[in-house]
Amino acid sequence: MSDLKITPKSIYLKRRSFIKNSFLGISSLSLSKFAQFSSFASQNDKPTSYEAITSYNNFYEFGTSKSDPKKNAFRLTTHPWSVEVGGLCRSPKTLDMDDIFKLNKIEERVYRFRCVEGWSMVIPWTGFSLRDFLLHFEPDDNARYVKFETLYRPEEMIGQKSNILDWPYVEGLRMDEAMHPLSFLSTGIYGESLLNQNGAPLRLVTPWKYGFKSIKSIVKISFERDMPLTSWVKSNPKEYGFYSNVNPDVDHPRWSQKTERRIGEWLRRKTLMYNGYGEEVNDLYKNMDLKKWF
Amino acid sequence: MVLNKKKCLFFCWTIIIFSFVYPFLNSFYLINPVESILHYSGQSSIRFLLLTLMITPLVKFFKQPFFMFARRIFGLTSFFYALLHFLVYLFFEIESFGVYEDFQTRPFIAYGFFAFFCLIPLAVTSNNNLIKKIGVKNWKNLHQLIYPAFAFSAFHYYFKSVSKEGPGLALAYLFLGLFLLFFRAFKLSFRSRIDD
Repeated sequence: MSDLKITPKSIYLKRRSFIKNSFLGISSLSLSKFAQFSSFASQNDKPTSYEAITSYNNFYEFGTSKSDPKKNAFRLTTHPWSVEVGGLCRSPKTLDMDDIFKLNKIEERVYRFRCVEGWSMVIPWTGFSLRDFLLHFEPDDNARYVKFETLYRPEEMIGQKSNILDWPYVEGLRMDEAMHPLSFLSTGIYGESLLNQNGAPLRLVTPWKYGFKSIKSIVKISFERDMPLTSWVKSNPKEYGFYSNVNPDVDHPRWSQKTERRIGEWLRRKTLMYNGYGEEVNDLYKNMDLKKWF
Repeated sequence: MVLNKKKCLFFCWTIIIFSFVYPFLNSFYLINPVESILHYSGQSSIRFLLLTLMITPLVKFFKQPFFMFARRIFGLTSFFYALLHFLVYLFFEIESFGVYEDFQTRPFIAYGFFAFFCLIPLAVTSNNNLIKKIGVKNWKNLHQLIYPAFAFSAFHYYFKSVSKEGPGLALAYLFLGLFLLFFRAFKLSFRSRIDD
């Protein structure tokens, strides 16, 4: 499916100017629906340049350096693409991208994005709510977690030839996190279809968590009873936890999490609890020891 | 053919200027300039340190006595890259938390400090007047500090890189440094045998 079928380019261009002129964080097209989240990104959160968003990436499937994904991602073929949704649910299905676009209305959200390495961006995503998507498959009551998997295709994802992680990449959310209105499945940035280096054609976005939770190029989603063993927890359980919520009070062994460098700025700025989405997500973790469940 | 001093200097400066211009050829470095400068200046410092260590063996092997100039020039280049690395860290990296906290959360930072402090006396005494003042023998002893400086730099980089890009390059630096140290130890023992 081409970009044009989703929304004409002229509307995207208008949206871009809307984003530039507004700090509301959501496009006018979806304003009414998400009025309760009137400030996804605040006054001093100007969207990061498209150039930076599409050139400076962590996507180990294409290499570990931040310039690698842009260089190597052209090999990935995203047509055709199908996503298998299953596990503990009443109507498991395998969908191609056309089906997925038909199921969901595309909207736009500007979110802060904080990488565990201490840098951050502001990204105008397009896509749809994860909750709305998941409900189509009617999850069972005993589904407590959602597990996501990235494509495994080492001949195209050449980073998978090295064993720096145990492929395929696995991520997960607790059911209530997945059903949270902020959780988002993205298909585009700045109104353009996602580029391969950004996780085309479908990726997760959970803005209150470190970036690596926002799994890219998803091919499999399943409802699970037990907490999935995610790739980073598997590779280094001392450094990475399942939740990985942005938290300035819990340091990573090789870098402090108290501050971050917003791409495009020289000086570091303070990192906000839950990346500034505390008001929205506090309730998810209210009885948890965040030092233990980091 | 023995190269003259002028040609040797030209060769050295070509390498140094190329090392300086190289990152500007790639616009990727501009997206996160602080990170780029930190990474590139650190890499350059350790590479020039290795180059400095290699000069003496190379001079002997290729019989180019004038090339000894390169040792000082490359050594100073390494120091200036380290200074840049240090200053960018001080001004842009530690902002809301202090150096002490940084040592605690990121122990590899301490290795970087040690490496830099080893390099300072070497840079300061890299001119002919000071060599005369402190005496050639003292100067030679003092400049053995290049080995701990190199070791600290290599470990600094090793602990920084071990999780992300992998420690491959850091290990290569370490082995090359170790090899050059062995070369030097062997040469010294050989010479002392002749002295006997």
